[in-house]
Amino acid sequence: MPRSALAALAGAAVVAAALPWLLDDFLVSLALSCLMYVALATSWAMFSGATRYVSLGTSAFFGLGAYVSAWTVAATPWPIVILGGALLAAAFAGLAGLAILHLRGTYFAVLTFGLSELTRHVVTYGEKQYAGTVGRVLRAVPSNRTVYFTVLAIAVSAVLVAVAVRRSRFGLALIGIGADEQRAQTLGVPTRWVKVAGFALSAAFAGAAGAAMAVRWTYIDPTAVFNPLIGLQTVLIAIVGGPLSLTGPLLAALVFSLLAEFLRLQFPYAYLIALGLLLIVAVLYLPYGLAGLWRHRTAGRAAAAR
Amino acid sequence: MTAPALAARGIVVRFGGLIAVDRVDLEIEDRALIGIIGPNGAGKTTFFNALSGLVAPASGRLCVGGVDLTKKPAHVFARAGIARTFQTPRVFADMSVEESVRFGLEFAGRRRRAERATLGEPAAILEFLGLADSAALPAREVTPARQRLLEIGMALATRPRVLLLDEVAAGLTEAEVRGMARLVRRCRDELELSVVWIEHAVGVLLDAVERVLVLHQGRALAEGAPAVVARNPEVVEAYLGHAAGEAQP
Repeated sequence: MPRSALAALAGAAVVAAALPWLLDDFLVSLALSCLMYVALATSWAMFSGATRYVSLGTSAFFGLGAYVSAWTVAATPWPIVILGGALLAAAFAGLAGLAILHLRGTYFAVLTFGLSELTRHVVTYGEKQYAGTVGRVLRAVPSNRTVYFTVLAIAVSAVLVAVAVRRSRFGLALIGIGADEQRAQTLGVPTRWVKVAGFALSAAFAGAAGAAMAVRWTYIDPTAVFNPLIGLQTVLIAIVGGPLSLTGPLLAALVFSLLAEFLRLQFPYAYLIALGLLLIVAVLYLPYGLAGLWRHRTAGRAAAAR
Repeated sequence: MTAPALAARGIVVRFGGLIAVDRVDLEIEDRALIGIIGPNGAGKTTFFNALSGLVAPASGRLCVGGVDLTKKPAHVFARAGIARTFQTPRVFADMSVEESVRFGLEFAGRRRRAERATLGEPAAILEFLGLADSAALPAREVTPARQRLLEIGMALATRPRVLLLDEVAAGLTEAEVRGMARLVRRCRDELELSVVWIEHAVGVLLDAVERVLVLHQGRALAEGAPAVVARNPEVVEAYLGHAAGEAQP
């Protein structure tokens, strides 16, 4: 990522930090969901974009983070709650990854989807058995402003970690796994551990985001926080934005949350249809997303100028 | 006496009920130049898959420099100095030629800096292979013949001790095949590697190598000097004679 892009990123973060003083509550909550998808899509692309292991498991990690928050927020310092959500999600992704990361393509996608459903049912069962209730009302939650800055911090760190990973040998290993996993292994990449670590790292951000967002909703139940739509939207945003780029998912997250909010209010059904159509178009015609389209155009121009 | 660079003893590879490799031994000393021949389906590539750790043998032992690596994953073999190419070039399509070579240097090659200092830069490897002018091209855009060279470059970047070449001359013109045979010898002579070379172009291979192993239906049919093996009646019957018979009108 060039220095100018990093500067633009820092600028965007500063603007985002000022928003709670500039906008009304509705627009701030819109910005909040924007930031949430920045965190989710960026961290998703960091692993799934690079390795081409398309995960639909984001909902599972997000939901686990949300429940960590629900269980602990009343009696635990706020940063520990967020960290706890991240750690539980990462640990869960690590264990699940050990079991399912030898599967590729559709099998992996379907299994991660199943993972979300399984987690949802296990949490539902556990809550019924031991808490005697399925939903939970969250009391003694931090202020809206605290939540906003927490999610902003998670989004910024997701982007920074994605940049750092992209520049590291670890990131190169992830790209190699995406290009040809066996070949990468014969060149010395310990593919299994790289995959598990990448999957867990990416899940940590989803867990943290879940932990932070849970308190915004004040009432949570498994259907809401393990909503598969969260995972699907994450994948969609990252793929439409460009799974291999850093700025693509980021910009797509901004556009999408705004668009989604608008469409959801105006045309609730058209919104889901539009989501589906966009995903199909992106997968069929834009393997590198809108970022690829942009790069293609600039590359074409450079070639023409030569 | 030092342990051989790579020693395979009694290697058996099974796919379900099929025995693809059946109790094959091969001892590869440092700076050896060995050819493997055999008809299609003889188990040559499967044997390579076992030697490079991609397939765990059902039985048998694999030792690299005297260290037992049997059933270890492929990256452990790469880090121990076993490098290989694939029959159909498996280059990183989206990376440039130079980046593809750098990849090996960043992983297995990085850990093997102490063992081997030569060819420590992508530029040096590309120069050695005559690929320097393609360095900036995406790997997908170079010709198939150059992709084969790039495959060798990616393998060399791991700073190997043993280089396993799987049909690197397949699909090349006759002149290119001879060029490849020269390159194989240079890998041994100039880089001081052990090279094991699988090839269907038997004539060129027998001229280039110093020892040859003949595989037939998963078994080692013969092993020895090329001139001796080429006259072995069993080999002629099973393989060479078959080809000679086809050539006659």
